[in-house]
Amino acid sequence: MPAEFPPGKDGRPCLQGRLVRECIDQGSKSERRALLMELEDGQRVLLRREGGHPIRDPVLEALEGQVLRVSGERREGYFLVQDIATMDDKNQ
Amino acid sequence: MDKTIVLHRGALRLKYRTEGLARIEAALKLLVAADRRRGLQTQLLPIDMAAPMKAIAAEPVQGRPDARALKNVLDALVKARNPHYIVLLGGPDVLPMVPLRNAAHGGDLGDSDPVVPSDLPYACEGAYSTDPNRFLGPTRVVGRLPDLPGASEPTLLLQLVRAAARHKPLPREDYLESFGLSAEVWQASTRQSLTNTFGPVGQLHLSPPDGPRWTKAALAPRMHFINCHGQKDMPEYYGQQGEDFPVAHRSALVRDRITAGTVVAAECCYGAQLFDPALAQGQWPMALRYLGDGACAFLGSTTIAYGPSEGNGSADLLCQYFLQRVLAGASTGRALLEARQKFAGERTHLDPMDLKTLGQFYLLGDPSLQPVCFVSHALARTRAFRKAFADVQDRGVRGLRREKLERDGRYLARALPRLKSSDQSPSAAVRSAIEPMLRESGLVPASCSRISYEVVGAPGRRLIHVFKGWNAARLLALIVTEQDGALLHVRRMHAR
Repeated sequence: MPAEFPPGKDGRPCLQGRLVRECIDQGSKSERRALLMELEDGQRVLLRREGGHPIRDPVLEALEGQVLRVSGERREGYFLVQDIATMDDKNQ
Repeated sequence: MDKTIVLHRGALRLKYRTEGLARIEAALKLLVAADRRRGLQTQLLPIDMAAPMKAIAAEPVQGRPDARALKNVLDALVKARNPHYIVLLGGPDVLPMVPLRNAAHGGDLGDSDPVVPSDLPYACEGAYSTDPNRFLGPTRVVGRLPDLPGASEPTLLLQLVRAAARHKPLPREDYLESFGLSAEVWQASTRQSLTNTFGPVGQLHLSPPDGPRWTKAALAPRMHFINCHGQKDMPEYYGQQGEDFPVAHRSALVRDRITAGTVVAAECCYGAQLFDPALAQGQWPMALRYLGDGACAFLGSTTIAYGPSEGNGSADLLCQYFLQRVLAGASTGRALLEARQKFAGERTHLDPMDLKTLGQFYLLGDPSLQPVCFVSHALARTRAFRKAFADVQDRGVRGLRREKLERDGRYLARALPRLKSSDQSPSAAVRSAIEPMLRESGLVPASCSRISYEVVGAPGRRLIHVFKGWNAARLLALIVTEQDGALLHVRRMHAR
């Protein structure tokens, strides 16, 4: 299964992968444990939910560890999540 | 020439159409006239027009300007006219910033900014490059009068040009009160910065619990010092207490609350990033909301910034030096130049975080504006003195100041060693001295990550080794300086 899907019917990019929490921007004023999507190819993409808090988002935090398919906008430095679907976890 | 306003008519026309460009040029005429009344000769330099460019022996920049072309123009301008102030007209989508390489990027030790958009190279004599090591010695006063990214009407730019024309310096007393805002976890550092700048600190607002609905009275002081979190493309700054990151300041809530002439230094990550409001559900970047509401200067960062939770370092220092120079009567542009020189000059070498700090902070606002009146000596207030200098006003003295700043900047550019990534491991002597220190810091030496740099230009063979590791939930770093195989210096940093 590819980690990144072609745009859906509405033209928005999609990503699929496991939501993991990791310390990023270490040593800086932005150092924090952030939620990233770990794609199948090992790439990790910082997620930010549209309308959510960019540092602590309880909606995303509740999904930590799950395999998700998200659609939205790929932006410089992060992926803006507009829709989330939880997927079957084939590793469990 | 006292002041040059650099613009690209084609880029402005593309963004605002011919009518918009005409309105901008009409407003600029008013600014030139206002400058003349305050003793400044100001000239416009449309860099895409042949005649004015020929006058400075440069080629016109046709098409959309890029950073290299803009840098070449500014170098030619300084060579031909050496203006005391350089104003870049428009945001980065009109006149681009230089994408400096980020020495603090990548790996376990780095941050996530691949490049640092920077105006610093425009303030330096070195030729165009994206290597930050080439821009350690700024010599020029440069600021940017921004417009709104993505806008189709030049409303904000017109407003800022007109506000610059109206600006008048005020007595120092009017700038001694400050609005200080800090993430709760960084209060010790912020208090130190405020004390260093304003003396014993009165009220410091902490988030949490304070903000973001500030009253007009709370925001009324003309000096704002903000040490909070910021995020890319976000119109807010955030406080912190533990794992709670509440909104401390929101650009929409600043509107109609800022006193004219306010000067802001914001240490926040992305604190002065200019983004299209369409990326933030229509909300403006904080810096533009402040300027649009009457602030005359905003110093902030384009990217992720650095500073300790206690004590002062990196962003804390650059921001407080800037405000200190403003309080001493410098123009905002000179205040930044002096702050940059002080920041770079008081170090033996700049580590990757300091290199990034020097490049990422920039000035939004007309750099010739002087917020605080300079108190002249008694002779200067006499009729004879005023008559003698009626035509040139401050020009001669300003020229002497620029002469000194140029000399100091050139010295820094020549003398400061450069950092170069290195594969060299610490010597056996250094390793045996450091491993007990790592253990005493609660770290396991074998599981620590390390990155090393050669300090090129330092006496002998000097290496910097940065060790990082986790002690419970705390990330610790030991910065180790090795000189000719021996341990020279160690400092421990606590990351936040």
